[in-house]
Amino acid sequence: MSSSNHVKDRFFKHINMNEIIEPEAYEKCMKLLPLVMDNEASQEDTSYFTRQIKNWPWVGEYMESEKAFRSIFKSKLAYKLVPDGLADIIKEKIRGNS
Amino acid sequence: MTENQRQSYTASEKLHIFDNEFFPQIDAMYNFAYRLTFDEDDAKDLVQDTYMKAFRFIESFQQGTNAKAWLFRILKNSFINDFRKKSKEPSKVDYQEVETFYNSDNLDEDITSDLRVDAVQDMIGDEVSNALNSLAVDFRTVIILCDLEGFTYEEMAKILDIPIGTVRSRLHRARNLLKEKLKSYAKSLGY
Repeated sequence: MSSSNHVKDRFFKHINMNEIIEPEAYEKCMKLLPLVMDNEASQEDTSYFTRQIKNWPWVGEYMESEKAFRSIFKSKLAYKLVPDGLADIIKEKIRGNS
Repeated sequence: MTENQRQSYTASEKLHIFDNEFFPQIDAMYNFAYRLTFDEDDAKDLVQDTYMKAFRFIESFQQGTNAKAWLFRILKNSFINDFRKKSKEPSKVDYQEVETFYNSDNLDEDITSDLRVDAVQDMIGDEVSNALNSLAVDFRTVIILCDLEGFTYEEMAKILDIPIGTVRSRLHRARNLLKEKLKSYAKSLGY
């Protein structure tokens, strides 16, 4: 199996906590993970997380994979631009009401 | 200042706010409206309706604050109150039970659904769009707000009138549901 136990058997399912280095820190970091991914964790928590995950390389690999997914997902969705004329219609109505 | 405190603007100030803070958001507004309604005419009506309401209630907007979030909140409420009723959108999913579970300490147990990134890379935009569109509106909305529009949890909580913890759990659930949908497409591509 390749990289970090194939990203810990594809995203940490059924992980055996007895095999984890610093299990308490791991549990804390797992709670922080979604917040860090969404830039919602505090600076202090993010620093702690960044230091700690070096113990569990599959976490960093998972994060890279998730970032790539979100980036591709976003790029695949065409942004629906506002149809021609809609802005003018709204402006006209607003000025008529002001 | 709370959002309920009313401002007092002159007519020219109102137009200035409209032109400089509200109108620059029109593309994002239309995109959001379209992804809620799936219909260009409904999306146009929803955006128009939102701007008319925004102007009517402009005195509850504080100049220089987050106009985009304020407008998105009006748009979302207009959609729920006026458009959702007439659309073919299935009724709201009952995810209360799901959210109770995901608000618990078990959130970390299932980090995310497994999905190969290269499978998504090989999909066309329509397949990705269909997967998003197939989600119930409440799940679809949090993905649009967070992953497409870049709103923070706090902004999303205000737009959606839900607690931040619910934003977080709903987003987690929505992303996993989206990946399950995409996995089906991936399988059909031979992944």
